[in-house]
Amino acid sequence: MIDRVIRCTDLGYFYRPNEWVFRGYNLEIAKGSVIAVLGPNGAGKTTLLKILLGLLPPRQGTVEVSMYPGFVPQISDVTFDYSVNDMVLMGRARSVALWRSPGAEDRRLVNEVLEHFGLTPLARRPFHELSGGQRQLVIIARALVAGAEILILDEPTASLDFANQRMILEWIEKLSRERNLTVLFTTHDPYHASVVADQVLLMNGPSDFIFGPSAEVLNDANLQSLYGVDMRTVSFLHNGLDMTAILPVLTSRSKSGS
Amino acid sequence: MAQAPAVFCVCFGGVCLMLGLFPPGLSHVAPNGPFRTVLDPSGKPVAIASPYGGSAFFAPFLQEYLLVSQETGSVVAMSASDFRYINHEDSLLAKIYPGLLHLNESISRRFSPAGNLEAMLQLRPGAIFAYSLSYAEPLRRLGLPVISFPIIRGKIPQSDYYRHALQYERVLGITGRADELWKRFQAGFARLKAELGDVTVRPRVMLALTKQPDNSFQVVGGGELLGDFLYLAGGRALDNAGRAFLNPEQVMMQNPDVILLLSLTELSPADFYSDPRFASLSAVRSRRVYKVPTGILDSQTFPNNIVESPLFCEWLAELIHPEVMPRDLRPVIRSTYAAVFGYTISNPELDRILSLNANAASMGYRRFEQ
Amino acid sequence: MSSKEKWIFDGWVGSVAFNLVLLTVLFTLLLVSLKIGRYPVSVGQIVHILASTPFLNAKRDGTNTVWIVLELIRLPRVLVVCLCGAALGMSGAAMQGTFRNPLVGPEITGVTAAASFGGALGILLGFSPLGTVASAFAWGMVGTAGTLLVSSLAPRSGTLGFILVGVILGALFSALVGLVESLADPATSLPNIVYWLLGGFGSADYRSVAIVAGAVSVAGPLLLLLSWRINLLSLSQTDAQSLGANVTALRWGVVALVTLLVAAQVSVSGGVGWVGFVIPHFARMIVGPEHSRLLPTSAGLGAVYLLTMDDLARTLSRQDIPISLLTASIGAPLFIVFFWRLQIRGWSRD
Repeated sequence: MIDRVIRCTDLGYFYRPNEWVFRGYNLEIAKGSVIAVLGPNGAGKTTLLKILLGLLPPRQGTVEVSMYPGFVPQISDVTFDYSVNDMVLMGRARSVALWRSPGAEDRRLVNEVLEHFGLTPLARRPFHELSGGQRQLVIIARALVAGAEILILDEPTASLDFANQRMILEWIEKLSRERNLTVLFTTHDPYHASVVADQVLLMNGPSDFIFGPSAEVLNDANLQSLYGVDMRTVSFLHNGLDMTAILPVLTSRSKSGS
Repeated sequence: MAQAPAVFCVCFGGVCLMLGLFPPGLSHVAPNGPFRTVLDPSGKPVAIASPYGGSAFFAPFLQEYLLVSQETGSVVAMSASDFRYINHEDSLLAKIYPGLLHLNESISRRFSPAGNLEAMLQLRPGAIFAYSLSYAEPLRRLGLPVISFPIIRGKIPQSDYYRHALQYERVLGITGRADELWKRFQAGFARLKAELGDVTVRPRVMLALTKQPDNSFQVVGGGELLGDFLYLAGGRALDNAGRAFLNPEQVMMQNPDVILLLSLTELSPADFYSDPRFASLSAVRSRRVYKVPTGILDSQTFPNNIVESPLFCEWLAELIHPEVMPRDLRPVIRSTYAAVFGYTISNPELDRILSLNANAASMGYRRFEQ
Repeated sequence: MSSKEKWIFDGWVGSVAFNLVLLTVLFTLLLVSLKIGRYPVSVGQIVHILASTPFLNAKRDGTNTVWIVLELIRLPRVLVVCLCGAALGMSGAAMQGTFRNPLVGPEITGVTAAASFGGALGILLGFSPLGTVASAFAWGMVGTAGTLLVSSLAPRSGTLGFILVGVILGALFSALVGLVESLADPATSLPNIVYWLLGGFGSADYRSVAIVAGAVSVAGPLLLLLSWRINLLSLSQTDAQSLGANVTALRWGVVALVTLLVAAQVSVSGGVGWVGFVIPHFARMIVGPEHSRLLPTSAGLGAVYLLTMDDLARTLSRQDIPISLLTASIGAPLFIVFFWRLQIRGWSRD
C-alpha cells in the first residue's frame, strides 16, 4: 500500500473573486516521491506551495498534508548577517517554547545536520558570505532540523551556476532516497524535472493542469503548450546510459537561417 | 544560560522598583539651631533658621523683595533673568543697591525648573523663593526651605501686592514695611480718583504686552488686573475679557484710540507711525501710541509693583485726560522714590525712565518734559 | 576581507564574556557617577552611605547634606538614567529586528512623539508633576495603538506599512506638540514645556525610578525572553511562518513591550533620541546580529552610553545640558565614524 502524504481535492484559489489562479486541482502525492512543478510565470506555483505549507487557506476544495512540510524559499531574505549556525538553529522554533531559547539538544541536532551536509566548517561563517548553492543547502538543513518530512522548495536551482545546480539536484535525489523524504519543487527547467522528479505537475492555466509520471508528462507537445515556445527532445549517451534533455528552441535573428 | 539576562533584568529592575516605591526620605528637615516657622503662600509651613541664612531667588521676585527688605545684604543668589535686568549701566536699581552686581551667584537659568540642586545645597540659603510647583517640589524634597508662589490662573487681585510684601516681611522677620507700602498704594489710587473725577469719555486702550513672531500682539483684556488699572486711569481695555492675541487685521477691526507698548514688545511708537498697514488706525492718526515707562525696577513689563503701579496709572491718566489731570508726574515720582528708596533721582534719569525720546513724537508727551 | 573574526566577541562564550565586562564597566560607572557632581563628596562617604543600605541607618535629617546629595539627588538620577539607557538599547534592538530594518528606532511606533504631546499637554493644562507623567505615559500608549490600528487597515502592507504609519502619526503628534507650544503662555508654561521636551534627568527622583523600574522589570525580562524569537521575525514572513512562528502576534507583542518601556522613559525624562537607534548597531558589531545575544548587550551598552552622556550633561557646564543634545551631537559623529564598518558588519548589504 502506498502512503499518501499530500492529497488535494478540487483545490482552488483566487486573490480577487472570480479571478481564479487555479481551480479543480486533484493531486495525490506518495511518501518518498519527488515532484516537480512547472508552469509559466504567474501560473500560481508559489501560491500552490503556500497552500501546501498551510500559509494560505484554500478558497475551494480541501488539502490534506499529513506530515510537517519544511519550506526552502527561493531567495532567503535575511536583513541581518546571521551565522550559518544561527540560521539553522532557527529551524528549531517549532520545538522551542515561546519564552525559551534553544538548548543543548537543539544544538546537537543542528551540529548533526550540518555534519550531514558537510557544512560544519562553515558553521560560524556569516550566511551572506556563502555561495548560492551553500545558502540553499543551509536552508534545506534548517528545514530538516525543524523535522520536515516533506521538503517544499521554491525554484531551488534558479540563479545558481551549473555545478551548484547539479549539487542541489543530487541532494534532492539523495534526501529522497536515503531519508525517504517527499520533495516538491518548482522549476523552469524541464530537464531538471526529468532528471530527479518521479512525477510532474504542469500548471497550464486556471483549470488546466497535467499531473503524472515525469516520463509520460514531459513531452514536446505538453511543454510547447505550457510555455508557448517550441520545445525539442534531445537524446544523447552518457556513461553508457540513454539520456534525454528537453530544450526550448531559441532563435536569434543574426544566426538563424544562415 | 540564555535566561540569565532576563533574570538579571528582573533582579535589577525589582531592586530599583522597591527603592522607588519605598524611597529613602528625610525623617525631619528642621535646622539644627533655633528656627521660626513661616507659612508660604500655598499654606505650607517652612522652617526659617535664625540667624537668617539669606534669600535665594529662583524666579524674578527680587525687585519686589527689595521694596520690602530695603537692603541687599540678605540676598545670596538671584536668577539669571533678574541678573540680566540689573546688569546694565543705566539700571537705577543697581545704582540704588550697588551690592547686587557683586553677587556672582546666578543659580537658575532660563529653562531649568530644577536648577542646580547641588549648588543650592552647597549654598544652604535661609529661604528660596520659587515660582510654582515644578520649581519648588525638587527643592522641597531635599529639605530646603522653599517659599513657592503659586501661578494664579484668572484675575490677580490688587491685594496680591500686599500679600507678597507680607510674605517677604515674615521671612525676613520684620514688621510694618508691608503696611506702609500698602497704605501708599491705596493713597496713590485715592488721589488719582479724586483728580480724575467723573470720567464721561473712556478711550479704548490697547495695552500690548508682547509681540509674537507671527506679528500678532498679546493684549490686555478688561477682566484682569491690568484691565482694572486701565479703567482706574480713565480708559478701558479692548473687548476681550482676558489676554488675547490680535493679529494686524484684528487690531484694525478693534481700532483702539490709544496704543500702549511695553518694552518687551521691542517696538516704539515710531514703528507704528511709519507702518503703512496701521496708517488708518485712529490711535496712529491722532498719534496716541506710547511706549510704557519701564519704571525704576526695569521690569521689562510695566511698572508692576506695589509702589509703581499707581504711578503707571497716573502717567496714563495724564495722557488720556490731560484736560482734568494736573501736570505733576515728575514731582510725584521724585518724592515717591525718595520716600521708598531714599534715592534722589536726577532729571536725566527721570527723562530715561519716562521714555521721553521714544515718545517724543506722540501726542501730549511734552507735558512730562522738565 | 577575512571573515574569521567576524564579530569582536564571537559566539556564546564571547558574548557572555563581553556582557560580564560590560556589567563591570556599568557598576564602576555607577559609582563614578555618584562621585561626580558640584557638591564635593569623598569616596569614603559614598562607601559609608551605600554600606548603610537599606538607608535606614544613615542620619536622615535635613542637615546631613552628603546624605541628601547622594541618596536624594544622585542615586535616583543615576538609577533612572541606567534603567532608561537599558530600556532604550534593548527596545531599539528589538524594533530593528522585528521590523527587519536597521534604520528604525524604538520611536517608530509613534510612542515618543505621542508621549511628548501628552507631557506638553499636561504642562499646558497645569497638571501636577505626577499628572504630567501619567499623561505622557497614557498618550504614548495611545500613539502606538493608533499606529497599530491605522496600519491594520491595510494588513498586506506589512512591516513597511507599519513604519510608514508610525512616521506619519509621529509627524501628526509632533505637529500637536507645536500646537500646544503655540497655545502655551510664553511667560509661564512655555519654558517648562520646552525644557521638558528637550529631555533630561535633572528632575529625576524616586518616583521616576519607580515608573521606569516598573516598566523595565516587567517588559524587560519578557522582551529578553522573546529575543531569540525576534530572529524569526527578521526573516521573510513566509519563511518565518513556515518555521512555525506566529509572526503577527509576535510582532505586536514586541511592539507592546517596547511601547511600555519607551513610554515610561519619555514620561520621566522627555524625548531622548539616538540611544535606541545607534546603540544596537554598536552592539551588533560587537556580538553579532543574533538577537538573544544582541538584546542583553544592547541594554548594557545603552545604560553605559546614557550614563556617560548624563555625567557629561552634569559636568560640562555649571548647568545641566539637555541630554538629547548630547546623545545626538556625540551619537551622530560616532555613527558616521563607524558607518563604513557597519556596511560590512551586522546587516546584509543587498
